[in-house]
Amino acid sequence: MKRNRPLSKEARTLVQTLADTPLEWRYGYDLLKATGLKSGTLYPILMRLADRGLLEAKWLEAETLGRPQRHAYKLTPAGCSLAAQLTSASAPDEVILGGQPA
Amino acid sequence: MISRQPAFAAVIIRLAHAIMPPERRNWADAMAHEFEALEADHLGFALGCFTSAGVANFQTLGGVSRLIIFPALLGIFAMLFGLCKTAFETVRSNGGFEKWEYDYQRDFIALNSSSEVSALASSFLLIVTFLLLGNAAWQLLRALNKPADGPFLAKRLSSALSGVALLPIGTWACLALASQLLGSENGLYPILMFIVFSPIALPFTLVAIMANLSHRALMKSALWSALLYTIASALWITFTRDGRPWPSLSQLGVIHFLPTSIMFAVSVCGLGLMWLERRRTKEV
Repeated sequence: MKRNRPLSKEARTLVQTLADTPLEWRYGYDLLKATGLKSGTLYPILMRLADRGLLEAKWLEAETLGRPQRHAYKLTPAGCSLAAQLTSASAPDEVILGGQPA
Repeated sequence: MISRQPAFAAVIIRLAHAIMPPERRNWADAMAHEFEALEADHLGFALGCFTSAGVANFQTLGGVSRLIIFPALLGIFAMLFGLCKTAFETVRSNGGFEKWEYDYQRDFIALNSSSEVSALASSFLLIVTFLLLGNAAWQLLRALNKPADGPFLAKRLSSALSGVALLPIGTWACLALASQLLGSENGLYPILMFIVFSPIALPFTLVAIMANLSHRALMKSALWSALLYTIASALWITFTRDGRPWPSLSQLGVIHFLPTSIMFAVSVCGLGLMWLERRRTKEV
């Protein structure tokens, strides 16, 4: 059973970073640089957001020839509304992580 | 000069990929492919991915596994801590490492009915050790096998190997505890031996934490470990008797067959629980 719990500070940072460019697919490395998070923090959050249906992920062809495909991410409509809640909330640390399951 | 850091980081990424639970394999691929695109800090990224893979294992553990694994982990770390603490205190009170003469056979034979409580404690720790570490070795080999389930032979071999690898640790842990609790004059030697062997246990423990701990694998490896433990105990007693009388049945029962039978019981109960769980899931 998934628990509905408040978003961590790191998760909020990530959601807000993704919400800055809601239509754009972002790569993991790009998100690491933009958020300043470590990979050990970023990937578990990405997995959790995807499990909750807040994040969409897909494989994109690499821009450089001979390079492997890359996993890219963007917020789903539910994720975007969560980001909007975070922006408008007076206490963002009380916003609950409880979107629709994937 | 070519830096060795990316090469080492690549190994860690492969390990992270190997230990990621199957349902998260897509994410392991994502990390591995992203690694190729990095411009700097390959090692930091790889270590982070390894941690993520470990965390993912805990998140995907089933209910029965959680019930078994958490007390088991607590038990093993408590055992290591307790034994190290006792050893250092003993060394300090003995005034150094000079008094190392120790007749483990005498202490083993000296076990009698009054020491059943101490032997029970040892037995519990042995069960924990065998369950956790036996599974760790199996899971490691399974994880390193490219196909999801690995070949039949590799599974059996790794189970057997894990049991063998744990025999010295378990035996010395048992002796150390028994001699301490019985107030042996020279109980220091087995404790020190245990500490010598415990570094072998630690990597196994870490792998157990990181690897995909399936409770079915845990129970099966417990069964194999119990079998190997029984054979090894019999061989050990036979070859170390050295002209002395055979230990009585109660001594044997307490120190050797009790852990084994509890392990068998735990395994059978666990497998039964899993069968019920699977049946219930199918019905749903």
